[in-house]
Amino acid sequence: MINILEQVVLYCLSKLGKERSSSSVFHLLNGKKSSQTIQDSYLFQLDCFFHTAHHLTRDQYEIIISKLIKHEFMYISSDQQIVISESGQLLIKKMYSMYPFLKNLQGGKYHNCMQFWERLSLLIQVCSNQVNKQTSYIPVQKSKDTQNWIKHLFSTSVGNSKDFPHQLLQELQALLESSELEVDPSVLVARFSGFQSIGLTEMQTIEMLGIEENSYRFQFQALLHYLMRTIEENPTAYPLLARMAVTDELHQLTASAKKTFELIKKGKGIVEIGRIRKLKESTIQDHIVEIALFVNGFNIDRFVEEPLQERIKEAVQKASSKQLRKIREIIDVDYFQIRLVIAKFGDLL
Amino acid sequence: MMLEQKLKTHFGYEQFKIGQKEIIEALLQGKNVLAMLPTGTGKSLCYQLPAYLMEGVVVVVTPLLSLMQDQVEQMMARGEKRVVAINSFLEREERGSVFGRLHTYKFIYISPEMLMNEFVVSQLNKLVISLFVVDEAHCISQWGYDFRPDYLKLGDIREALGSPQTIALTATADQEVRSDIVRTLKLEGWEEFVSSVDRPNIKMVVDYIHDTREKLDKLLEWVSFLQGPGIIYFSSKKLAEEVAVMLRDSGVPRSMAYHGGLDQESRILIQQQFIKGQLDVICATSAFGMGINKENVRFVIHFHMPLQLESYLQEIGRAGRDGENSISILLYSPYDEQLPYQLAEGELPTEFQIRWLFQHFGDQLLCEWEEMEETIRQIGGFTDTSWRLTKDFLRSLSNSMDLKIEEERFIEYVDNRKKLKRKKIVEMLNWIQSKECKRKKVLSYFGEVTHGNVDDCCSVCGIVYDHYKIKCTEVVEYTPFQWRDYLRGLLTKSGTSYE
Repeated sequence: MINILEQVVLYCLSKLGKERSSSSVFHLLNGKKSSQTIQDSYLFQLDCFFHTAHHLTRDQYEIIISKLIKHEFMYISSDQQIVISESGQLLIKKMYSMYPFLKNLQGGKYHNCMQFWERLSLLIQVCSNQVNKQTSYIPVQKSKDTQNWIKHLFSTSVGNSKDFPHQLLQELQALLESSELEVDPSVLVARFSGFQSIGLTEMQTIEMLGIEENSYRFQFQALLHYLMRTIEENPTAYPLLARMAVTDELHQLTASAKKTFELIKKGKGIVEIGRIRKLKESTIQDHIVEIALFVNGFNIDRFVEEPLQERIKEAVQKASSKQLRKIREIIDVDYFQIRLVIAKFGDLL
Repeated sequence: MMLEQKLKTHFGYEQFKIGQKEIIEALLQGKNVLAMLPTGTGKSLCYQLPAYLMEGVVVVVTPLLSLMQDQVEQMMARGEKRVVAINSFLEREERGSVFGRLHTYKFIYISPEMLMNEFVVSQLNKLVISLFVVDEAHCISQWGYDFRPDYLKLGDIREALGSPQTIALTATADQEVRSDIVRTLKLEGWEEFVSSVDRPNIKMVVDYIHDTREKLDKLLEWVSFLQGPGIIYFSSKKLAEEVAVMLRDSGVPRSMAYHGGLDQESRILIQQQFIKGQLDVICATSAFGMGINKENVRFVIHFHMPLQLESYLQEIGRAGRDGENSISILLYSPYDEQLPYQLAEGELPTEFQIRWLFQHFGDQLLCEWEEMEETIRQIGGFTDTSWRLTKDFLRSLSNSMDLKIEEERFIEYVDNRKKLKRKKIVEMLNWIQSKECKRKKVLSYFGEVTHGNVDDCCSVCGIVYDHYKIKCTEVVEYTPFQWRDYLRGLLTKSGTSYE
């Protein structure tokens, strides 16, 4: 029996085709914050799976690979390439109909969904205790960030925080009744804590609902991603939750890329930033690619002139493959410039 | 009468527990205090209440970070917001703002490592310190089972802070350890309050099982017989997990494992579920229990043998805090002492490791080791605890020292620790195998005599086990989880909610 995680791995491998090594799928599911991994995820339309199996270890991944080969869903060709077999193709086709909730995954955009979860679960606990006039209890989330965020939420809403519990209930009910959810809302709700009742742990929920572990983790994330997307698309319908879901673009950047971004905003160039930060130029270039991926409206004209951007776009479309080497056979520019254009316009190409 | 009123206003209790009032009175008279109070008798109240009656800030030194976080959290939950924990968890940026606001706090909890920092001491020196509290004071003594080298310097630090009035607190300390505490802290004049470690409402049972293979069956038998809620202690995470699953499958559905290997969220949830009565049994490692206030724990079982009587007392002390009769059971089968010996060895670096360290790194150990910490740890194969000890030692080195001498000194030190730990295990084993009254025997270990007859005293004196039998086998009805009801229950006024 092939489980959902194995199926997702197979799916990702088929998308990457012959252009990347098998370990790039591991990095993708694991959510490795390297510009190569992040960029690949967009390039091959696999960004929805980014960071969605962050528990996965290298060993576990290797076991999945050998299992897929053993069951003949794929094989290794004589030139060391992974080739998906016919039965593998069939399995891939069935994936979304078997697990319809997977279509709600948006790991690339919402890989910080655990922060959303922490805020949501703490807000519910606080509201539940407020409704019952209980002031002394142990918070279920210990992160200082999350606790400060809640404090901030309440201190900036003097007067109307009284309505929070009611408002929260209304908004959550509306969201969770949606037919697009594709999962049992218990996956999330059973884990909420409040006055006099402490929520279940992940493992307890898995046991109670009798769901396979990997499937549970995908369902939980798909549900969070769905909530975050719906709230973001329609903030006026969910005013309270909308205050929580604000995706902080900068939050998605690695700490080092953030520092580089600060210097770019001050007008510094690549060489200068490299000198200031005592880093290699190529590292700074990696940061810029990362920034282009995550920061909407980041202008890359300084690094690639506009006419050149157009020519690179054309080349990417014409190239037989998405390997940078193949693209550079058509147009003679820096790898950095190609990567930057793909990062910026990836989804349009 | 006035003190009782303060107790009511600040803590909501009607009366003091045994020993508390005398200690508080001594503190209010300006005396230094050394207090030994058994676990679960409200040690922290002894300095928290006087704090409200004294001008200035109370500085609390406590070695266990998790315990510190718990204490601070419980105070916050009680409504005391003027409290802060200063330890290595504090982020660099946060640190700045905490030191900027230092004078606004009433309670400053601090780890001994942070006190080693001159800047920190100079900041504390700007405050009026009304009381200097040394928690877990037995860590000061080399004779204690839980010696922490950092604690040795607390006397100098206390002097640097202008020798403020001091209270040293501990749950277990024999005479030798107690005099070490006073000497190290350089207390001139002090009053000593030593309450009995005896908790008559906790019954002591040693259950001898001749065949190790029957131990698990016997455990299941006990758990299904006894009135809960209860805690079962294991020395292994894996076994704690496995037994929790076994219990869930065999008629004790509300059982969970708790150990340091779980993620933080799960740990909080399981702890809180137990406290709120959603769980009956916790299968735990020693990571569980510190800082947990649950009044009605009815049994504590030790599946493995603790490493010393002090830990044993501390762990069974989590039962019966409400004063009701409770039972503690230690399961022993032949050769069980092998595991504690192994664990004790693992807590210390071996001579081979120490020699290797000095041979390979030589002079680098004087200053550069911190940059290579991960590498040294990995190649050297140090366990968490053995590395902590080694690190403390490396920190104490300075340029003027002869490394050859220090190497030998460290080896000798570790060797002494090893002997001490073995001695503790032997004492534990002697207690287990003794044919004397268990209570009398453990009390005499702490230099006490029994105060009279205790009903259902111990397995030697005789116990009517039916007194601890499960009263009503409450059938836990299985109702499928209804998310709509649950969510509504959480966010609307209770009455229809859980329980």
